[in-house]
Amino acid sequence: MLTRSAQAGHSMKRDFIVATLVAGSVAAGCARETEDRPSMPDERKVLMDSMPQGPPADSMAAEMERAWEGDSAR
Amino acid sequence: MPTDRRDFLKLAAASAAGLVAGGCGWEGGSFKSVLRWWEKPNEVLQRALTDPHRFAKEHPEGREGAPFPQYFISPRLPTVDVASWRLKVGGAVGNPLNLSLADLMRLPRSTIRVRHYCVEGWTAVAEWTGVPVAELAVAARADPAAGFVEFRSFDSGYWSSWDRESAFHPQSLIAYGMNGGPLMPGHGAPARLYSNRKYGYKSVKYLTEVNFLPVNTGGYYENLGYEWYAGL
Repeated sequence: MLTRSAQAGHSMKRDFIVATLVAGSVAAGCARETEDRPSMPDERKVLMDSMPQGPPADSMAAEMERAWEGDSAR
Repeated sequence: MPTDRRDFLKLAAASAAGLVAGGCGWEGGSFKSVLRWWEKPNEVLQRALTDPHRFAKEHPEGREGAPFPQYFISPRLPTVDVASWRLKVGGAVGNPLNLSLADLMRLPRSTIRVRHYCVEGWTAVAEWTGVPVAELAVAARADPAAGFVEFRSFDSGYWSSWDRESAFHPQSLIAYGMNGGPLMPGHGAPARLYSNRKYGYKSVKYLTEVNFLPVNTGGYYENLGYEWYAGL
């Protein structure tokens, strides 16, 4: 039969293992979302800043409306 | 306050987890290889649990629920001149295509009204009209040996690649219509990929290219560590 202090020691060990597992799991989850940046070849990158400014969103929406109506009329 | 050593240890465990969570800038160290190794068995398990040929349930009108959020990675809403926009269809194809929106609208179309499940936790029902990717493959005479389909965009180069089976599902669409009207700039106009069989980050908006390829070319978020298969 375990003494009271031995039981307390086992509990502490168990808590330490649980704590380690919890911390490890969170760390693993974080690591999944913080891996290296995408390794897309530079020549295929289309950076917004290097692109010509597109039309205002409302005029693009109007263009989409016209295309949609033209398609519906066909 | 902790009342004994056990409570103290529990508090320490929670604090340690919080510190690690707070320090998410950590690169992952030796966990990376383990996590990368685990992704393949995870994908096999997902394929086994989710029938890739299953059709998503169609929902009647009037059950939209929450509005669809808008997503893009660019610092401002990506827009383009619709008249000069083209969708390039290439890779391992016998008939490369360069389609205007009108060309796309002339291809066989499909309309689906399904519930979308986002990785962030929200769901919403929307109707999508567009060309099934499988029809695009027919028009471009895609090589049957090309096991992957890559989708590229003008949203700061955002891209994703799919397994052929998922991309060729009849409910995987190159959508140009949403909720009975045209697709709007906030939702990926002139055309975007849509499927409710995968998490939303796989549905590339603001499309510029569809490439049928023999290799998996990853994706923007996938290369940051998000799951590649991401099946639902």
